[in-house]
Amino acid sequence: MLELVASEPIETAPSEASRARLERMFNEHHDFIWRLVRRLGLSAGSADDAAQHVFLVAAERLADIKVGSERAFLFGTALRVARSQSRSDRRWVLEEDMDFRRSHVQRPEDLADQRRAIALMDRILTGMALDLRTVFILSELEGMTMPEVASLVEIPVGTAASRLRRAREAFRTAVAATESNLQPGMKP
Amino acid sequence: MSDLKLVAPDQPTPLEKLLMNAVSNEHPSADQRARVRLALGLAPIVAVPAAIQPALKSSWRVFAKVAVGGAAVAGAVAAVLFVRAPHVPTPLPVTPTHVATPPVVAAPEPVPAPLAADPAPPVIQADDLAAEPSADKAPAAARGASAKAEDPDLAGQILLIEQARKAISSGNAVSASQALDSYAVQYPRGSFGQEASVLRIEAIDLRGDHAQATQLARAFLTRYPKSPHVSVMQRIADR
Repeated sequence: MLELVASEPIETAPSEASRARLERMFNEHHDFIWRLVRRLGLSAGSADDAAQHVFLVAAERLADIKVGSERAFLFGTALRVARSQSRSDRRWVLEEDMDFRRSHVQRPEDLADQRRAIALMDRILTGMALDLRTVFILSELEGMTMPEVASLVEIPVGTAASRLRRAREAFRTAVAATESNLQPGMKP
Repeated sequence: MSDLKLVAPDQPTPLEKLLMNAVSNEHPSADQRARVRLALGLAPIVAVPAAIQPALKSSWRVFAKVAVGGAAVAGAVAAVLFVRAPHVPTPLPVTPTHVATPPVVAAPEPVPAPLAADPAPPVIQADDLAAEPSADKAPAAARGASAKAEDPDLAGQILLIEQARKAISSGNAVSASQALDSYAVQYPRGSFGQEASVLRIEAIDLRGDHAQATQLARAFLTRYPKSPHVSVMQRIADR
């Protein structure tokens, strides 16, 4: 914002309280937001951009964010940013998938490689409906309790639990399908 | 009813465990964290060599004013290429000592003097960085081996980017360009190439070459319509 350069008055600087709040938000939630957008289907590079975008939005709207609602704000913003960015990211993901399919006979030592495991996990997650995937990420990967998940997604606890059940089923089905492709005797 | 009753825990298979662990252990890179902190105007969290800490401490205050106010910058690596042509970089010697004493003309700046109210920049040690799994492109083994060496490198990059941003915030386009030239020479594959690109466009705009800045900003937007800093470039492009 060029209008701010050179002659920006000191009064427009964020207060110490605002900066401290931003610092806390970053320290407590940045990695979570980054992992969230990753698991929502963005490549690592796009996740970097998306996480940065989310926090810039938060910085600009800091005064509008209710104290105690920081995580919810970041979460909602991250969902929107990831959805918007995933379209442009799709080509990358598809290319990655194609690479993956090329080696359709998977060996345990391949799967032991973290990057390959991440690629496989992302492919499985991408196959889930977004509402199921979101609950699965928050509960299974981020370790949130069901009330926490329900609160963040703004759905009843029962609905969150139901989605988690279905997400787990979808996950298990996908993993079982992958395992069935493993060579006999080579399963982990 | 507790959530445990709502969703009975299942016993994951070995492959399920492997997959879940893989993604649960994935984290953003230290570079990514530093980049976001820069954009937000927060103090860098790297083990900064003592020689450059004072410069960092004074300069990131200016950052906060500009960045949090919406002037956070970023761009894309290729933008470096197209902004390089109009501004011929001054060749600078590339030595490690440049990190401590970058050849940038200090610009007069309206930096508030007292630092007492500032929280001391938190510092994490090189070992902490080395322990972090990273999502970046380098193989894990290579990352672990080079983690210690990356700290001063990252701090040096941050210093130059901060100097460029500080120069822009004080209206000194020449100083900003010099800092960006130093950055380009010392860190041709640096972690903040994106930030450098947008700062370069801002510097061109600041020195009064609005037509060129507008043209470059538009090119940037065409090429990177999803950049997190579209709004910054949009303001220049819309002139």
